[in-house]
Amino acid sequence: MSESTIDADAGITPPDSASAEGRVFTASGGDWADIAEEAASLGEERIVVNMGPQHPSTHGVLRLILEIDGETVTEARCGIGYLHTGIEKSMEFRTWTQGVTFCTRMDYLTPLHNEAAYCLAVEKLLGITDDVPERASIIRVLLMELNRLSSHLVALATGGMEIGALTVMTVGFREREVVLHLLEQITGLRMNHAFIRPGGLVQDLPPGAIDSVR
Amino acid sequence: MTDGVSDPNGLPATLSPSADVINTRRGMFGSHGSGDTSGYGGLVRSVALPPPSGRPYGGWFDEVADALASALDAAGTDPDAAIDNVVVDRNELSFVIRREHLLAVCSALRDQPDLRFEMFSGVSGVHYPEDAGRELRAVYHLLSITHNRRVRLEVSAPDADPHIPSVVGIYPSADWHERETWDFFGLIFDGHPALTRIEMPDDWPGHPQRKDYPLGGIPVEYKGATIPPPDTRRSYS
Amino acid sequence: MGIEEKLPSGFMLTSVEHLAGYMRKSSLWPATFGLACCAIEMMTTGAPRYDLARFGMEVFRASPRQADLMIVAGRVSQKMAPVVRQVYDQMVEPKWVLSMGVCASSGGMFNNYAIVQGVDHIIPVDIYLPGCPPRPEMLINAILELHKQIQSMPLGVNRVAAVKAAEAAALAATPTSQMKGLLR
Repeated sequence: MSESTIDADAGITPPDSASAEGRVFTASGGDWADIAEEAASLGEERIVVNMGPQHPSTHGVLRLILEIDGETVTEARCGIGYLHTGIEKSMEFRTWTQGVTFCTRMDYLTPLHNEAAYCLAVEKLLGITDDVPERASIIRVLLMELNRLSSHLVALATGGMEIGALTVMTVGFREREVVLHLLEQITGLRMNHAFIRPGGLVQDLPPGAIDSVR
Repeated sequence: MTDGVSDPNGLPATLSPSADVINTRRGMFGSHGSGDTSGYGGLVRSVALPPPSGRPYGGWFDEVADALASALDAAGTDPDAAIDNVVVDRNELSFVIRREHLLAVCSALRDQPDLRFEMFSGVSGVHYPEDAGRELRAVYHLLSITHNRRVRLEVSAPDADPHIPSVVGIYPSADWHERETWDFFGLIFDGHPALTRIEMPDDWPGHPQRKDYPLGGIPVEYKGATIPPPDTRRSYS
Repeated sequence: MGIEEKLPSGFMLTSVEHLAGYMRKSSLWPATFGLACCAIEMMTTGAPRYDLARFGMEVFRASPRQADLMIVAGRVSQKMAPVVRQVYDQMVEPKWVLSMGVCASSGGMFNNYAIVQGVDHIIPVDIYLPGCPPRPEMLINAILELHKQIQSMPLGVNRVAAVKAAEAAALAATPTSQMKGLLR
């Protein structure tokens, strides 16, 4: 199906290897229909299930191709790429500062961490790492730690939701509002703040921010 | 936090006069030929790759370079044939490797006790269309957990023959990274078990992150005007 | 759809419209279609602080067959587009679509090869909500606007007439890029 001449079956192990398990395929997209057909014709009890990209427990989009034996998952393969955004190519047509607004949206639970990683790299390339004010670095760490709190709260909340404890989800998000309120007071936005820029920050902490954090 | 020893003024190595200039860019990014309101139309910037560094490299870099050379010798590969350059730039060590010897170098880096770069951080592709004969690059990042060090390998391939041996046998986590590099740059990794598209749809034509692939945006309609996409509009900022 | 479609226009139909509209809008069940950053804001809108349960919408159905409203929250990549269409097709009438955030409404800041420039290229959208990401209050505002739309949705012969009128208006309207002189 792809236009390349690559032999996608190059990973098949010969049938006479070790146990009588059957043929082993490496399914990596594009050959899904053939795999499903073969597996069906082998007549085994294993069912191949496609836990598609839209599913309540695959937060965001993740396609899981599962081989299920009764209720036990024997094999799982991931299909990814459903959120590919072309951020890198878009950044080629923007200035360094505008690039921050793109990279902030890569991991949307911790936008400040993405920004910090990008800005540290840009500062290193420009050779200005020593010129970043120390106060800016410290505030960066403070913001990143607040963001880490909110991200971990989401992890706990959705983890609880997945095992059925729905109240954990509401509690987690409720606590998260405190952190988001703080971040809004400091950066102006609840999410995707383009606050950490190459060279430091957009602006200093507003008055009263430290007291709010305490 | 000093820079690499190669430049006593602490400047990045790309600014030194012996840097390998592969391209000269005029003006800013974006379209050329239309009216330029940015004022940066007169910019002339040369794009240079860092030059090879001379010994001593400084810090633990010498140790690693020597260990790699001796490991390659012991395995039967000529280190000078395998390693094109050693670049120490901004306090980071990079080896520019010939693609035929990539597997030997990776085995040596992973197995030699002084090196032990067990963790594979990723392959990325780079495309320099103006650098004839070396257009496509694959950049490998390795991390040594035992010694807490990072090293970078760079391998180049021409556009006409975009093949690079796959390191999946040595670092199995390279699997998806090489698929991504194939997907976006068209670099074919020989020996990869299943080199298929990973992020674009399976039947997508072209390799999006190459420089000759258009950004692909559409003009945006506003009330009273249409603004073209970023790669075709006039430079504003 | 049902008997309400067959009623003749008049007092009876209008009352049924009001009643049906009220029923539909009060317990509009959203389908989980969170893709990216807007999904997180959608989840916080369902969380206790900006409660969606007061509108009867805290139940995010996983199965599209049980859902009424598809909130497309987040950027739709080219690979995801057929999935969006399939989920929309699997929803049962009456269904509505709210495109949340600029990426779903128009491609947003990602004007490139990888993102569908507006989910209305794939599915018909009833209400657009800009923002990157929109605050939970903005999402609730959009949902309440949609509720108003649903409450006043005509049925039966009224609907046929309304559809014809909308189509005629759209054909006669000026295209967006020709709407000049608005700032005077």
